Amino acid sequence: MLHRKLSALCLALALSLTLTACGGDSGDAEKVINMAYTTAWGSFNPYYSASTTMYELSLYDKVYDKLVFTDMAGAVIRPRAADSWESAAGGLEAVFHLNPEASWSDGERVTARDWVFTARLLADPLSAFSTRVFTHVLAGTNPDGVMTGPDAFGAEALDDYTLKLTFKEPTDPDDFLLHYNRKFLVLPEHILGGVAPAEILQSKFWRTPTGSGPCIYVSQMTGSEMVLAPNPHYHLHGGNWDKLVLRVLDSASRLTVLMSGEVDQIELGSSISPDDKPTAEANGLDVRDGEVQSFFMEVLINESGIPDERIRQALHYAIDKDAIVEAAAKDVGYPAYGYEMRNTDYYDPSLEFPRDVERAKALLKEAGYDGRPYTIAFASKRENIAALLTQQWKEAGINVEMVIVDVATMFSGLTSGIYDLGLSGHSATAYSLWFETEFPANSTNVTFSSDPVRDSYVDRISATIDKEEKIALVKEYQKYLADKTWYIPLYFAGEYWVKSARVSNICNAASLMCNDNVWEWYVN
Amino acid sequence: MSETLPEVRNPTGDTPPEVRGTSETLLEVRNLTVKLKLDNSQDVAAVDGVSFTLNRGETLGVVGESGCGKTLTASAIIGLLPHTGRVAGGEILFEGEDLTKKSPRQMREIRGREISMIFQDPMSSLNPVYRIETQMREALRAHGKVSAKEARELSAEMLRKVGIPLPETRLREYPYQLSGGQRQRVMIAMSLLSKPSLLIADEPTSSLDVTIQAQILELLRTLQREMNAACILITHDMGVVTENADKILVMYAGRVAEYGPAEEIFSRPMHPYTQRLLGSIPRLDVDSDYLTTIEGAAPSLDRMPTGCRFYPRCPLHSGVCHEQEPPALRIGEHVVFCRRAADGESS
Amino acid sequence: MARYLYERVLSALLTMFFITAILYVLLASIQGSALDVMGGSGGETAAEYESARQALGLDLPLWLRYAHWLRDVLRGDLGMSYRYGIPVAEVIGQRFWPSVLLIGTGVSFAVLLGVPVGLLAAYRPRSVWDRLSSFFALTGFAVPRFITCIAFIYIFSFKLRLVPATGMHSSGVVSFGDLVSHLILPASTITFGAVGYLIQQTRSACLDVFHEDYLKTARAKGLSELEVVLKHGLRTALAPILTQLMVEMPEIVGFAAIAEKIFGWPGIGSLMIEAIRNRDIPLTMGVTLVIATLVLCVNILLDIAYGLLDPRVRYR
Repeated sequence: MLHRKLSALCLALALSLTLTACGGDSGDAEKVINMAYTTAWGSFNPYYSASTTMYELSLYDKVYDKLVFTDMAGAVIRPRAADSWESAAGGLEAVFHLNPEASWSDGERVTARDWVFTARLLADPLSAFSTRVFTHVLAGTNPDGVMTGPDAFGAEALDDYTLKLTFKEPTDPDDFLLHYNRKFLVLPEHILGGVAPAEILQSKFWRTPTGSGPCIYVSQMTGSEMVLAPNPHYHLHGGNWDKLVLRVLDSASRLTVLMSGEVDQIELGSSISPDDKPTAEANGLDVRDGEVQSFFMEVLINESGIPDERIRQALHYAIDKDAIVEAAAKDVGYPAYGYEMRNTDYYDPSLEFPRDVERAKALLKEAGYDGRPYTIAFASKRENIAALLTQQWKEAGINVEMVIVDVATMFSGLTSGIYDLGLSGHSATAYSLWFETEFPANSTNVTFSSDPVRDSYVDRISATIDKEEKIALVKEYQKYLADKTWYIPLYFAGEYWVKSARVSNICNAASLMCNDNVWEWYVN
Repeated sequence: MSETLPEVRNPTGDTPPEVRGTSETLLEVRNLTVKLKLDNSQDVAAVDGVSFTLNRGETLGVVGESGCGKTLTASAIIGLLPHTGRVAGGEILFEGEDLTKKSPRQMREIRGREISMIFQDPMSSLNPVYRIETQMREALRAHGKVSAKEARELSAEMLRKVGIPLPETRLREYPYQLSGGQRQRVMIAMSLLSKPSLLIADEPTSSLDVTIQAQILELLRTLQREMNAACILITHDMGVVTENADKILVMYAGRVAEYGPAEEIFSRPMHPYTQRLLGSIPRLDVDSDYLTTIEGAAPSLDRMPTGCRFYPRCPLHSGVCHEQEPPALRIGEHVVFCRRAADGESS
Repeated sequence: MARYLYERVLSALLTMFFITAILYVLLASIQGSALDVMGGSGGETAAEYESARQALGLDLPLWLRYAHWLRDVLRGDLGMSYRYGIPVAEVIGQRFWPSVLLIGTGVSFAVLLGVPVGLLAAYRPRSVWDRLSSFFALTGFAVPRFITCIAFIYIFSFKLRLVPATGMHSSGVVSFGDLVSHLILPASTITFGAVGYLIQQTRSACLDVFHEDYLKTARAKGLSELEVVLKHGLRTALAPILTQLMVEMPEIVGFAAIAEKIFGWPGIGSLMIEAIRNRDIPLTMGVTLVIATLVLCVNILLDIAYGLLDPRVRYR
């Protein structure tokens, strides 16, 4: 009797639990756009850390304004804070004509002085910022970008809405923009002007920033969620949303939340893997081929671990890139032999070669490879590529052991010599030296020793304004890099993008460049 | 009919106790059968055709080895059979009403009020996490509204009656703070709170040492007389029932072996089993090096012998004991179930 | 009693000291620092890197860094998060209550579900119910936790579309019903993981108790079966069940961290995971401190509760 009573109680409990599950959907008149991010952002200070992540740049992009809007991996540059720009003084100067409507979220107008103020703050010797971003290319600074004197500094406001940058070397303004636009965010002089550069990090400004970007900060749950509202004073228009919510979600849930409609867009282009494409389509999602294949995958090599370039070349020849592309990117990728994308003028087809195991073996013999094993470190999501590579290398007689680590461990391990090889992916752009921005010669992330020939190429390429000349130089440079094989290009891949049915005007390709045209997003 | 049997002296050497109680029938058990479902799904009659009567104020001593069904019989009466057991036949007439026909709710009202039960091990019969007064109050509240103050007064009074000094202090204590004898007194007090007409005491002294045993038994006698309560005193020890019992029911393997007024059973036991039981009581006035025992062991429930269940251990058995059920021999109120006795032979 | 408390608190503090010291050493020794977290996309110069290191104090020797941290903590300052640039206490403060809500709900339901089921199983051992509940219990703690989470999302969110899969609330919605619909799935996974132990523990504690004679006494008093089972059976078995629950708590907290991560629930569990991944030492230490304090407090409370529940073990 008791037995039955208690069983009934349990059943009732279970039933009530399931009943409360149904429901919770409340219609709201507010137009809210939800975006999913796999990694949280740090602070609102775009210059807080020297290693700002793409996710953070993506956030800063919404709150602060930039000079231009780049799309299609840099093949397209549209006005944003700057209406137009041109080169002057034989390439030593770049002049930007700013949009006079651009305003801060508190209503004040953005002027050229704000831009100069920002540049000066970055170059200030007393500045507490961890990074100076781009100031080292401006005149009047030392190689680290520190201002040598207040007057010779290469950033000047010609008038309220004209900004002039003076470079040390002749520079194509488009190159400059492709290189630094995503990290050059304007700060308000009328608010931060009074703060001592040495104490800039402590300013309360960073908690609730006043930016001139398309969004204003509303609230956040640290590390989990960020709520933004449109900046009513933004000078570009076209959108109709009331709230933009950035939510940090585990990458395993990406597809689920897209399909359930909890999220409209995933960070950086709303891309899904080829494996998920059938499921997504089966659930009614609109999946498109990515318009640009700008994801670049390479094998990083620690030069001190493998000092003989013949062995490095052997590693390159032993790889079957078609198989890798097949495994990693299927029909939205192609093998890479240099870091320039196919759709740019810099691409050199002559660098391509098929897999040549015999050649690899010959090179190994020549170099006197003794069979010692190398270690390759990689993040777990790259495991299939690493496994393929290891297998292919084995066939050529090179022993490689695999180690799964997280990204930070891989990079610091490569630099300190614990690992010999690594796997890394990047977003390529149309900028001719985009790869250099990832591994600049004097950066601590470089895994190979400094090389004067390489430096000279880089200097010459960046200094060349003439297109034809530049193309020739870049091709020469790439051949040099191929010989040295400090890294092994694997492939370029595009992604499948999920086009939101609810929100129109989203430029998926632009997201990859860490800028979103949120001012044009329209909720249907 | 019967022939006179040789007299067997009352083993304790005392004069037979006076007959207590009234002649009003309180409880009449007729042909009670209790079946148990064993682990192997067998359904066996653990109590088979047991009958006896009990008058108001009388004490019935139920004697037998462990497993002979005495506790089950008591459980059947009070309605606390285990969930594997059920009454499969017979009647239990309490104050004229058949308890076997009552619903669980009805039994709950009777239980603890008209019929109470106390158990063997006082160390574990009280809940260790509740105070004495809480447990006693619970007994009172089960059968009627009573305020905390009233409960305390009634409980204290009852504790005094059972001979516990400083009852008010004791009430506030936890069981672990009392000795075994004290706990059994508390149990008795608790069972008598609602003034039951029948108290069932299942081996109440088996866990106590000898001196305390006598005190508890004396206490039971006194209280019974005072409250005119009948008592079923269950034990495996014949010595326990000598002072207290008016009637004796000897059970073996679920059946009645012998039943009758106490002094008859003691002076003229007719069943071989009863005789052996009496013979096994150690005597102070006889010097012996060995304890007399009964060879063999009681049969297990799933392998009961046919015919007389005692025959494998009976020194007097013959073939017919094995084939047929033993018949009943009645002499007045004295009943014995034995072929030998019925045929007029005894050891 | 006071002396007992004093001793326990002292030993708890000592434990905390060791926990934090060991943890600090471990964290600081992992390959990579907060600055390496997204290497390769920065392009910082060596000078920049070095000044960043110094700003974070990463250039000081390990024992000194720990000493500084300890000193600050004793002053009540948990430091600044390397990654978020705001005080650790503030970050924890924002993320603390969602965890309490999640774990509290999950555990409460585990108890509400597990105790009656275990009780019933003990009441009728070897019955169909007993076997079924044992099976259910075993599944609960045999299945790896993250699989439970993913399976639940797959079945209830993805296939059946009953509840949202992630997050604590739908954007722009502030309603209790919305919170409940978001809470239900992650809380269920916690319940599912914790209930197994509880069922088994309740069952065995109750089995022991149900054999006790005082149940017979209670029945003989005329109490209803429900009263007997609850007031005398369960009540006495409560102490060991409670002990088991509290012993399980650290594991539940750990599992909750995984659930928080998978469900995107903004609690301190997922905060801890992120903090470690970001090599954010002050934040990791702060979260650990909070969690360790809680667990140790709960242990002390348990000891007191046990004494209240079972007078036999009370300290005189």
